[in-house]
Amino acid sequence: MVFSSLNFLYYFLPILLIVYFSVPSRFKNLVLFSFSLVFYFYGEPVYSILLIGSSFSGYLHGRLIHAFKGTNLAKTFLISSIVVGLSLLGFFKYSNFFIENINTIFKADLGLIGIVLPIGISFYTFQVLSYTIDIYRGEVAVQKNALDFMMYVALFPQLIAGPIVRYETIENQLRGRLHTFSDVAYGIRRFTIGLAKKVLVANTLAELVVHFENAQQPSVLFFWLGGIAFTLQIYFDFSGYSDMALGLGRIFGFKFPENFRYPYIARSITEFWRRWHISLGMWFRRYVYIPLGGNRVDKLKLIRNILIVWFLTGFWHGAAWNFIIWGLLYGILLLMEKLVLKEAIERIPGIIRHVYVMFVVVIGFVLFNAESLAEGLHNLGGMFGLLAVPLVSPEALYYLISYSGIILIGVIGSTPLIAKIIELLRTYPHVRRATDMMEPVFYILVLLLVTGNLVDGSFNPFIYFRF
Amino acid sequence: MTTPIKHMLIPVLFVGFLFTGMITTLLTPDQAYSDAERRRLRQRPIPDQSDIFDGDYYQKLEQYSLDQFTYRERFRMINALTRTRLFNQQDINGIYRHGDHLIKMDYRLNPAALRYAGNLFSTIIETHLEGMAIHYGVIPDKNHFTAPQSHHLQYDYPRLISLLHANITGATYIDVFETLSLDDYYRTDHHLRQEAHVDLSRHLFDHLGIKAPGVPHTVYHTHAGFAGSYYGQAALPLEKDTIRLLMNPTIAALEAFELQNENRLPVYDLDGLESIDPYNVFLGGQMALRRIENPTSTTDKELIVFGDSYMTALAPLLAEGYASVTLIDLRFVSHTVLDTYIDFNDQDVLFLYSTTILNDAFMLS
Repeated sequence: MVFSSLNFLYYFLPILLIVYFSVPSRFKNLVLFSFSLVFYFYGEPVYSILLIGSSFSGYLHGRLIHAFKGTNLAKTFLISSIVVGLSLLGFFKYSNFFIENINTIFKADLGLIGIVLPIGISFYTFQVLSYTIDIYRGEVAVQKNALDFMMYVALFPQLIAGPIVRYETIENQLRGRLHTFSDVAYGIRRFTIGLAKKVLVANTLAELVVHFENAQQPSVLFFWLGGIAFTLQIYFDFSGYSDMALGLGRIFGFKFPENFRYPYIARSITEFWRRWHISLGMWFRRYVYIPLGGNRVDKLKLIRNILIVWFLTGFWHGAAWNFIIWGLLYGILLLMEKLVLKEAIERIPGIIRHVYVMFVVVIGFVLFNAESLAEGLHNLGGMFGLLAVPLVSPEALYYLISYSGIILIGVIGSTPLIAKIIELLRTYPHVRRATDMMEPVFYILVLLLVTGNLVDGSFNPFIYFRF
Repeated sequence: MTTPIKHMLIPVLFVGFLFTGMITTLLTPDQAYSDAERRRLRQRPIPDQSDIFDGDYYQKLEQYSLDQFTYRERFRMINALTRTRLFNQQDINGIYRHGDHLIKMDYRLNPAALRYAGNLFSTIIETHLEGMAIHYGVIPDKNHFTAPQSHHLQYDYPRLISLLHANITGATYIDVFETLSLDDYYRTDHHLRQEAHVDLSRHLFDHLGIKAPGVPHTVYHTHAGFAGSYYGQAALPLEKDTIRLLMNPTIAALEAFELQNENRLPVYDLDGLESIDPYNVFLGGQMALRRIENPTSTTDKELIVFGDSYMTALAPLLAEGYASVTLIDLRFVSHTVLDTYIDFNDQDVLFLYSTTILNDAFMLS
């Protein structure tokens, strides 16, 4: 099930809210776990077994690591936990990638495996691994209640597209949480804004991307328009989803970590990755980069560490070479900023640094969005005039004009400008009173617009569901 | 309003809104079809073990919810207005508004389909129509008239016509583009109003060498509330169309037949006005082979028209100038079996197709 569907909004969510807030505290986790399973089963019936198995494996390994703490067996169970998690991920996500490459390199004819990627496997596998590793390191207490642990893994707000919530973050909240009107109101605010970002902005931009992909008159302008539209789309899609996840979490008393902090205002690639998909960056930093030695190593090892992390980041996003190249591109740029540019980058005017970041980000997402590396390079060629296409075509011009409104909304909405203006205006008491009055009505208005869009059956897939 | 009150009001309104939507939808009986969109609406899927486990059931449930959601048409209108007014989008799913008209922005030319159409017509001419007087014409879509002013995209019409010219042999082209104007079409549909067919039929008679009959027409029947095919797609607030049926003593005397089963057909099927597509009023809607006979004709000349849905409203008017008019719709019958039903014998022949069908001509056979 997706958040931006009528069945979620008008059946699943209101029924869950009524049931959840009607039952005594001791049953709340059971209610959330049950509804989370229904939520997952609705979209991925058969692989629900995988989710349950994966989370139970995490629970069991946690117990075993804890039971044999300080002995070699604890390490064995940690390795076992990692092997189980990565094997499942490897089998379901990467088998066909390896088969295709073996076939290409060795001119073999191995058949592809007819499986589809289980929704959310990349996210919940990483959560389970973070738990068992942290148990081994002695950084979190073992969870003895299987239901509470499996509820943590299966918790529907963050189950299928993150943020990747480390067990430590919500360890205490699993045991008991405070529910306040203030938290519920905040959660609804985040959820509704996320819903609008996804349904009204990202889905509309997705249509522009489809127009670009089906262009009858390709042109340099259209290649750029497609790249910029996708760059905005993926931000509003993914950050919208994260907003909804954080909002839903807060409604039920959980405080999930922020996943985005206006990444498109960054002035260096380093800063960009501190603002984009923060929970994934933190995961790789904590469980890969630092164990490899982090940056407290010699230059060669530092280069190795960063390239490994960014190779894995790209590969995590998808089992295809364009994702790997996309990850490595960022690895190389981060190395350049760290080792070559250093403080020099600080002396460059902010606007130029911002243009540099957005240029790299757009180029990166053109590779990211391609079906293959060849298609990505073709599209980049189109952007830089390397294909036999005109600079401008009537088709590109038409769609630029037609979607200029949503592009403008996207550009402004990806900065903190509106939030800052509201904050400034709210320093005036009468404006504050007026916005307080209007705020609840505003969310209903957003729900009306979103429902209209959904009822019309518009384009609605979440991009990050495929990861 | 104090902050604590606001914090209470937000959840109450939010949950209240969602609950109202749920209860209203559950209490509203399911609709069988949408008049505006002219399609059957999906009904509640029946759970089936295999569907449940392969996920198909839930997809059907999603589609069902979309189709049966409470106040669906109003929500669709909200969406259309959001896109056009708030986001300033120039079209919605390829449909745009120009004055009182809804227009489909068709612009992707399909040269292969146009070549196919030309070659198919040439094959039919060679196979069935050798030595006969053959003409062909193209009815432009509404976008032809509006796109230059509204800056929407449109077909490359000169290329469209030249692709046909290059592939049709043995037929003479009749240009009808200049005869038509935007107001000749229904505002919410792609078809021509029957009143506009009078001038078109006169123009065709001129080129076919037929003396145009001078019997004037009166409006025989008026059907208000015609939601054309673009009406539901656009979901924009717009007044519906009116279908007017023309009559004179010649048309009143016409006799129509469906050729494959030799059934008698009404020239105007008033029951068709109540069907999903009220345009079915003309000769009973879409059919492969039909003939209209004109018992009052002063000539024994006959006409064969190869065409699409546009010809059904035109045919009674063309029949005024001929002893009979045979209508062939190649979307529903292959030209290879035509000899079974039609005796090709020195009739006038007209291929008359809309740009939309020609650009998607692989449906013709």
